[in-house]
Amino acid sequence: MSEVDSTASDEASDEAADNAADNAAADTVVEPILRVRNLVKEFRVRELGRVAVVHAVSGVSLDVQPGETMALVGESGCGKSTTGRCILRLIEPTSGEVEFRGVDLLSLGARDLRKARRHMQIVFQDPQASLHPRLTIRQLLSEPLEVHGEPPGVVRTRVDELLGLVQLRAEHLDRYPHEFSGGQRQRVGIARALAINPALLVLDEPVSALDVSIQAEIMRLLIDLRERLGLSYVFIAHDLAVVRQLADRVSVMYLGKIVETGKADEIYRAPQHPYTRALLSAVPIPDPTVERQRKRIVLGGELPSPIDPPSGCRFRTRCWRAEARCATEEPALIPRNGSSPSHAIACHFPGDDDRAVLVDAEHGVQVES
Amino acid sequence: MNGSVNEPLTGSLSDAAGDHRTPILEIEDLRVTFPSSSGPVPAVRGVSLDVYPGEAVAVVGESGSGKSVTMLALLGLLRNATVTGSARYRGTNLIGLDPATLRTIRGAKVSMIFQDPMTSLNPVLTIGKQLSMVMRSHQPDLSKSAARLRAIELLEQVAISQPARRCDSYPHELSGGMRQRVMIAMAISNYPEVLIADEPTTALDVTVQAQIMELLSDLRVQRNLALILITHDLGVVAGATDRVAVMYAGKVVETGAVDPLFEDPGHPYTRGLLECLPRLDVRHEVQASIPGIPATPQSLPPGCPFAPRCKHVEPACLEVEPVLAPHGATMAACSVMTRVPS
Repeated sequence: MSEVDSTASDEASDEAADNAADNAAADTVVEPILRVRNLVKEFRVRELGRVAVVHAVSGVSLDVQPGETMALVGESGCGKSTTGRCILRLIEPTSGEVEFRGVDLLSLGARDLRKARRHMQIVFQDPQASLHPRLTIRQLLSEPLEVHGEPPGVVRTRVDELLGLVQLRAEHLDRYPHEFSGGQRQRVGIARALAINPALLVLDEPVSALDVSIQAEIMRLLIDLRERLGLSYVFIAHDLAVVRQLADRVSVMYLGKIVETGKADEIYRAPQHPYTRALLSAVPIPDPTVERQRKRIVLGGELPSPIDPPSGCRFRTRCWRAEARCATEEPALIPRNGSSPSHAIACHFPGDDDRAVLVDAEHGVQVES
Repeated sequence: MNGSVNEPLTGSLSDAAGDHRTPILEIEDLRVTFPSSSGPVPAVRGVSLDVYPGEAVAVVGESGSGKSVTMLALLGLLRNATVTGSARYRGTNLIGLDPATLRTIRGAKVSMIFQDPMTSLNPVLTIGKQLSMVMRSHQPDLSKSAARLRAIELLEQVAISQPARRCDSYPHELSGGMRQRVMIAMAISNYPEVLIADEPTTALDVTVQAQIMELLSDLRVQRNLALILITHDLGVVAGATDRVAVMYAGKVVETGAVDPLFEDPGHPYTRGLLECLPRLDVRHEVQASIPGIPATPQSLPPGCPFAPRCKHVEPACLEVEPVLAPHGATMAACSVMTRVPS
């Protein structure tokens, strides 16, 4: 966990990060391993013969400190996966800055980008789809090492190490992906991402396709690997209960923008943005007593189209606190209402004093009205 | 296939909704076997479950536990499967019922909604047309114009805005949440008494899930519907149901009212599931408390199917498959946990 949290849209910390970048990696505590500023991704699509623009990601800024897990959460279409892919330049961002250890990734040519990718890898949701069905596990694990020019002897030793890291056995090496269960396949996906010893993993819904008992095993593995290898994670997920088990910080996205960001405890215990509050209140808790005491904020209406997002605050069309100002003035993502410097909210009317009832098992049930 | 579960599961469920009433659906010793090149595959191995009017029962289990197959079997929706046992709706056994009579019940008195509304809706027909077809196949006297009016009314009931306009929309023009509302409208269009919902919110976002679960609860109360909720999500179960049946390897391994089942589960599988479940309200050390992988019907071990993954396993577990027996306020199929101290 980092000692210093820099708030995404805080100008001062922006400059501090810039200065730190100039001084190279002198102070790893202050300098984030990953620094994203105003990331924008627009897709052009044809709709009824016209060209329309899908605003998938509209100005996302975030920092990830070394060894830290930053969770990017939100519902389908919020832009969390697109953000993850833009960070690795698997999709080319429309504009913005992505810096990895002070190096601007967006300015790199193909060869330098490949070198930089040694240090940052991705794990996908569905290992069935992301592992080549006609390669054995040995081939799948050797491939990234060979691409990065490791000699055969090194490849062999590293493949054995990787098996141990993800708790697979030597006898698995000559099997094909279809011979494995979903959980084992995801272990292979993780081992493949770890092959070239990256410092940062983008995990895109890594446990969503798995049964709960298997989910827990993979979560346990990810937590162990983070500790053993000092990895930083960008953990992309829709399941807020899963996220709580490993996130240091959480950024909540809605329709292409981060609406709230903060330390995990700040987000889970004292969410301020109405969307975060609705989202948390909708997650069922596996405890009938707790469930009976909760009240849900059931959102009305539908998610607006990213082709034509609402003016001002993008959440205002479904928000019970919205006023005229919300339609004209976009709220900045900044600390508000005396929240801590690490906790930023993009809302003109933040607060936890509405009709929501949130529950925290460690502090009993809080009933607010 | 020994150790069938023959006793009705309501015996110990004193606080379940209305023991004094007659169940609307009585499933007894239901078994489903699929043929395969490597021999018969027992997907469901003796499931018994009573469902009362107006109550919500959850059938919980991981993939391959047989929870969906059980429901598909009783509605006669499985091909090439051997189905035995009985499933009586108001006394009429649906298993082995002639197709014509079954059609008068299925989709009318007992209806079902599925996980993925996109694959259940016909992509080339409007929503209104599909609703109308479902109604007119069970209510032949209903005119086309009356069916359309009724379709609009139903869309309104499931909280779809501008229902008259939506009637002329095609499925791809609707969001996932709206499509599932359309499926629910279709399922309730012939005034069913039992609604089987198979993972109705699994493909949906959590805020949409909250909307759909609220809708299902409202309909249940308004119409005194019996709701059978098939799910893998114990969070949804905790908030939306009265009773729970936990399935593993084609059998009900634990059943009881929702409170005791969560507070004091008797079966090690139920306990493990609850332990490894991440919770929103607490940051705890994630436990991988169920090692190994779920038993599949193709490779059932002798004795208790959960024994290879169980930390309480005893030699006897590997030989004799346990039957449901009282454990506190639930019934659990575990010979270790339900043993009476001598």
